[in-house]
Amino acid sequence: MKKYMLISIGLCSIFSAEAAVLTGELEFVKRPSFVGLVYAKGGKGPSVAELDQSNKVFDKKAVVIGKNGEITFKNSDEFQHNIFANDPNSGVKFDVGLMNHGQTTKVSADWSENTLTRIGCKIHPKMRSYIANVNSDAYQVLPFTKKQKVYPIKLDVGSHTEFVLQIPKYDPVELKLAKGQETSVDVMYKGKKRATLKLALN
Amino acid sequence: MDCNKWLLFSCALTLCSGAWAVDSPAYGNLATPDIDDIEYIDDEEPSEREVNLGKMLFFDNRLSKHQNQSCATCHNPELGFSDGLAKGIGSGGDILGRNAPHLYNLAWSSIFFWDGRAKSLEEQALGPIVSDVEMQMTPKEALQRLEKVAFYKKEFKEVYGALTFENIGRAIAAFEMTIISDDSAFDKYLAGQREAMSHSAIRGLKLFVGKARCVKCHDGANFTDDSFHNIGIEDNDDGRFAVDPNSKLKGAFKTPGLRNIIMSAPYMHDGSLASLEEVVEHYDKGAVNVKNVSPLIVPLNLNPQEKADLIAFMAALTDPVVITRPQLPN
Repeated sequence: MKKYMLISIGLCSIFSAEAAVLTGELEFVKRPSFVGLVYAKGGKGPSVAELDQSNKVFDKKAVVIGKNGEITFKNSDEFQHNIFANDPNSGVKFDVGLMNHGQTTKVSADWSENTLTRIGCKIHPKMRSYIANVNSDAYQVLPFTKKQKVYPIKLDVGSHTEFVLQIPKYDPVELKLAKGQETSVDVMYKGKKRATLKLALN
Repeated sequence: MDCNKWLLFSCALTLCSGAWAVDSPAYGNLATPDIDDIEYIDDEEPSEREVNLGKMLFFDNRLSKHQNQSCATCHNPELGFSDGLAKGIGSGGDILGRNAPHLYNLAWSSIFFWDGRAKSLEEQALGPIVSDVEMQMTPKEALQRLEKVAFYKKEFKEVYGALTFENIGRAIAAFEMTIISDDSAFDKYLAGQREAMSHSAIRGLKLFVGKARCVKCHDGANFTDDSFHNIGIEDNDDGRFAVDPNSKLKGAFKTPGLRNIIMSAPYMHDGSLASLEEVVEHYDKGAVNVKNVSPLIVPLNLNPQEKADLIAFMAALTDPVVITRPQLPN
């Protein structure tokens, strides 16, 4: 019994020595964008994800999926919808066709990893969301609103030390941090500083 | 206070709250437009100089082949940014295919033209200039005309770095994004001024979100879902189907926003309905047996008072945008 206890205490201390938390904030200079994603490089990413539609909006600003994962699109709206992607930035194209109330359809994310793909509805052009296809098990979606400039980041990242911030159309930010280190970087869009990303790994 | 007084007091409170509930229907997504929700190109609000440049271009006849038309010819500020005609007239005298839509609150829009063929206001602004029946220019001709004007050459260089056809669209769009109407009687009512709308308009609002089903398409702060519907106007125009060959979109057109709608008669994509009274009659009948009509369009069985109330509500969406015509450069 004592041996088991010792082993488990030993294992716990190994994990606590390696487990790290990424904290920080993203602060926009002016108006925030639509959505962002912070993630640690490494892992597989989720194998399934779900995105619903009601009141002519998607229920999430971004869904995260791993390579070849399956996204289920639902339509809980009283209106018909037609989800599609035709995103020149990620090169992803699909069209799920017309979906009636209560209908679901599945799409396999069989395109390049580490991409953000814009999706919309052919019938309701104001609807938009993003599919983040990432090889990561530690990620945080940042749904931005126009009235909030600062967004806190807190992410259990295990032993990972390489991190990425992706915001649609913005230059992606990639950085490496050692435990105990902190950094501050400019987030750029078309050559202009749009935000400051501050991160610390502890 | 004795027991009877408490009883009276609580009865009065109950009655008051009941009356308030009657006057506070669920408005769905109807709201006052929020400037913070505008999606500017590159996420940046246009500068005042850019807007002024766009305003000059918007009113400048040099952008039409015969120098007899500007954007403001079909989108006349004094006519609700429309032209009062069923179908517009081009620079060469051709009758155009569709009614000139108004331009109110396009800053919030995500798709443009009756058939949605332009994905940005910048793209839309250039369309009529190079249309072979509207202003009948080519990009090269438009640039040659403007290059002869010292003011334009200077302004384009200083605002954008160069005079290009794309930048003409950017400037006009920058001006069009300032055509904002957000202080109607309805907005005041939403802000708590209960007396801002007449009793008839308040009843019309309840019908709008309820029995009359208007909000099924005319929803959101600008009373449009930016979507496409076949509402049963019978003509040979395929509408959205010509852009997106989905059979459900045959004869479907973009839902126009309703702010200041009372100012931009006639109505519908073909301008076939002369007044809001005719529009309400059309929807009341429900376009029964019309081919490809949207399932959202059904007979409404409105009585004459309800029809009048709906129009009173649409009139309460009025907040004119006054534009002073600019002195154009030589």
